[in-house]
Amino acid sequence: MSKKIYKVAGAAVLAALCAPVVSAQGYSPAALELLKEQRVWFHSSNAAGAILDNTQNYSEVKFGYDNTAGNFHRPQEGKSISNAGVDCEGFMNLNTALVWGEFSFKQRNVNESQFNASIADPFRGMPFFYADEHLSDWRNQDYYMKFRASTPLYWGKFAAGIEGVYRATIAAKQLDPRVDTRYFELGLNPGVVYSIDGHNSIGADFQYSAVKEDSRMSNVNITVSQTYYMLYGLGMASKQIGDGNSTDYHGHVVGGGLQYNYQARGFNALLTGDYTRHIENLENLKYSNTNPTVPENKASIKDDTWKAGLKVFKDGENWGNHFTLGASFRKISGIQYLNEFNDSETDPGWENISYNIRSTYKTTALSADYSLIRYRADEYAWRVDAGVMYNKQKDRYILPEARKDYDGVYTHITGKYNFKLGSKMNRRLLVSATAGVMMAGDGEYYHSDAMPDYPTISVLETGDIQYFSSDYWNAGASATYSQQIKSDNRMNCYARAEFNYVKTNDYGFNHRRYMSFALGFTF
Amino acid sequence: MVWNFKSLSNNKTIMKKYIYALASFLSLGFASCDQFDEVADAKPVNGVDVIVDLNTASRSSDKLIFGNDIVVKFNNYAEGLEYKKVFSGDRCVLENLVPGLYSINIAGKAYDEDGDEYILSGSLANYPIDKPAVEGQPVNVQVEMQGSVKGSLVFSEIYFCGSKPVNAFSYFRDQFYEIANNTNEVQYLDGLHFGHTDAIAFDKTRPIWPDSDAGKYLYIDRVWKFPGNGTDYPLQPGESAVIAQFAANHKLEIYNPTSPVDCSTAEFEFNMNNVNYPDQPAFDMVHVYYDGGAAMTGIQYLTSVFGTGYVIFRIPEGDNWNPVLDMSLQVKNAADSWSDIFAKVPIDYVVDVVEGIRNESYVDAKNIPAILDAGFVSIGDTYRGLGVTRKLDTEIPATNGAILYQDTNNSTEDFECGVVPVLHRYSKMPSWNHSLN
Repeated sequence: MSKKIYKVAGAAVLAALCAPVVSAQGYSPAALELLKEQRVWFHSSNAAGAILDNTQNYSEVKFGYDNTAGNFHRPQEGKSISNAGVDCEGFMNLNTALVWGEFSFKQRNVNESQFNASIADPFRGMPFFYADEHLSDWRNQDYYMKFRASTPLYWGKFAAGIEGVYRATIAAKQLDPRVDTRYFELGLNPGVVYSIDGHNSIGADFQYSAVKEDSRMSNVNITVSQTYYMLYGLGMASKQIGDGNSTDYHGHVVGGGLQYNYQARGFNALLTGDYTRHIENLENLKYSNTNPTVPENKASIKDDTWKAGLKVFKDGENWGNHFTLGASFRKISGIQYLNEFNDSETDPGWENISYNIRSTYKTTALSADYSLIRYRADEYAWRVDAGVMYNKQKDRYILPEARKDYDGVYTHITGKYNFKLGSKMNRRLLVSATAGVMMAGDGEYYHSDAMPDYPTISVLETGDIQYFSSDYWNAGASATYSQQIKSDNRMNCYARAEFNYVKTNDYGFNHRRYMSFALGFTF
Repeated sequence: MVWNFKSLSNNKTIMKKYIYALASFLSLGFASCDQFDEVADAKPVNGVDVIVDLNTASRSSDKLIFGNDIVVKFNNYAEGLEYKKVFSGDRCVLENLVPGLYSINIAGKAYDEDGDEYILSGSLANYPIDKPAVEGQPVNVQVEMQGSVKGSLVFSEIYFCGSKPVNAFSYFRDQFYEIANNTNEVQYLDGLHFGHTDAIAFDKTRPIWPDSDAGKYLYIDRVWKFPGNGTDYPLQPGESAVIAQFAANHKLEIYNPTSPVDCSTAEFEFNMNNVNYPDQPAFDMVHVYYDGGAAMTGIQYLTSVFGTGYVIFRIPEGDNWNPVLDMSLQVKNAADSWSDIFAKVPIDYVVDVVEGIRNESYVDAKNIPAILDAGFVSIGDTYRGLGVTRKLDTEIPATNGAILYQDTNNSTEDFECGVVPVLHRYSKMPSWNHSLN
């Protein structure tokens, strides 16, 4: 089985690099964007639907750098963040199989981040981790690989496919208490599609992934102990002093998805529904070294996510109308364990007395997007994208009571124009301008007086609710120049520059700006 | 219609393999069922109502009447929670406590039939408050109240965290321990033993001692004793004596000008015959025991700058306590393969004990039993030049110049932490102090 997976993954990655060229002059950035966008099944979790997407072969390699800076950010986010890396992606129809692969590597430098001293991503939905007040840099490396492989329609009716995901992150905090943490995620999603007739198809997929993070804290300056906090959620914390802890996070995600697709000439609609349950435990390794076989179970999460989506594409010869609706509801339950140490000679170690749900985190997200596209051959001449997103967060720490509520509506519009620069070498200049407005609701953070007066409340959670309660507007622009490498070579190269500026005047925040540069090749 | 049987057969083979692969993969997911089951049945936490019943040894005769100002405190140090209530009588109810491990401390007064006042205290350490056996019913906690017997000699000031020099990381030669006469009568230091327990490990690894010893001993790493023949070193009421790690003026340029203390007036020191820190005018403590022997191994007597258990004890007349010769009084910590050999000190010998810990989150790993010290002292940091000082018992009038200190066997209550250390803050130097002669 594992050999087969390796073979499929290998073929998928190969596809990312050497898919044959099918387009006459290769893909301009607008053509490739359109090609990817029109794969409705690809945007579902079911790999088996690739045959119904009727996608052409393509490959893309991109080298990029981006930088984000400014004081409008969450306390744990970092004052500035820069990423440098490479992405490659490709699809290949081998007739007996359809394979798609993606690989990316990023060197991520986070500067002056606060209130995280133990995990690679403090926003991944794990409320239990160690944090300190120091503004510290992080040096992270992210490796991400994803592949999909699927069959053609057997008997014109049935296709099967599988998606594999591998993600690894190595992250290192640069100031005491330091951490060397390694995050791994390995997922496999098998799926099937049944074509009822030429127009109607249904699909189902099973989703499984294993998650692990191994976090080891230490002090380089061993003569100075550091103050840090074990976060329990919503500012509730346990104060510690010393050189940190070693913690082992390990979990599983199990879920599934259902899809219904209707295709007719110029019309393509896909309705999706997904559910996943993610269970993850946190075990304290350092405190359990008297009996490693009985580690201290500190906490767990139960993370349930429901998603529904509808994509409706109405494409004519010259015009395209793309309409997308999305809804997701996520509920994370934070479970804490009450443990007692058994210091007997015969069986020392941790004994669990009880465990309870101590906190809940509910996220509701709704979105609607519409795109009007003016086609030009296999690319677009121009397009307008507009959308609105509603987000609502309702977090509770049950005892002692704390609540954090906020919501907001973000409206955005983007216009893109794809200038054709002459008739040779497939020269293009794709420019875009975007604007958005966030109207945040009245966020509220309440905590009981019984909670200890730690900076996890006064700085971390207070700063967080101020961020999410801030109205802001943003404006940005990008320009992408592309052309063929040679007139007799259908490989296209492009250079892109992008800038986005977010402005707010609330709670002492000012702005956040984002700029990125990329150099890419499509073939 | 023409069937391509070969192609169909191939398709079937492929499908069969695919189904096998799918089944194998599904089994991988189900392997984690235990983890899913355990978490899936977790219920939202409910507050716990607790009934605290106070018991006294003389309660059966119904002679004691509890006062109106009994104070009960439940501290959940792991989560920084404290519940406090003032009540009268022998029972109180606390509502909606968060389940957790609690240190429970109760203090107050009771009266007998004649109206005589008794100071009572009771405590439980690391007591689990969890959901009640019967849902909807409160959890019942029984606390044995004891008469607060003031120690004759008590630690009145301890400075263990060290100080921070301007151009170096740390300075810890300035540690000292002050022992005060807490009575209206003369007390003698002669023959009194001093020692320290092992500090709580950084990682909270609990020591493992023989099960058969449970509740009988303290385990002391190094033991010293005061010199004298029985009456050489008296402490009059209101007097105290300081034992310095190194009885020098630490504010001198050669040591650490930022040190908060001048220990050159200390009465005693732990002289380890280190040429770099030579013998000072203070009287030398007598080394008794370390790691299975009497030899004074090492170049300094340093106790943990994070805090540890400090013990003074006296061997009762007629007892022959000699851990060097009596192997039954030696023991290793089974949780530590590099453990020193500790000396077992019967808890009946203990005159006073104070437990210092790194910070409050370490209270669940306390080494000292609650019956001796239900609380702890802590600076919460190292090399801050701060110490801990025992509070004065202002309710008891002093006579004969006596300075009387609070002593409820709960250091959390009895001490003020994070103060700039001072030698003889309240109590006077004894007349035999070398600097006075």
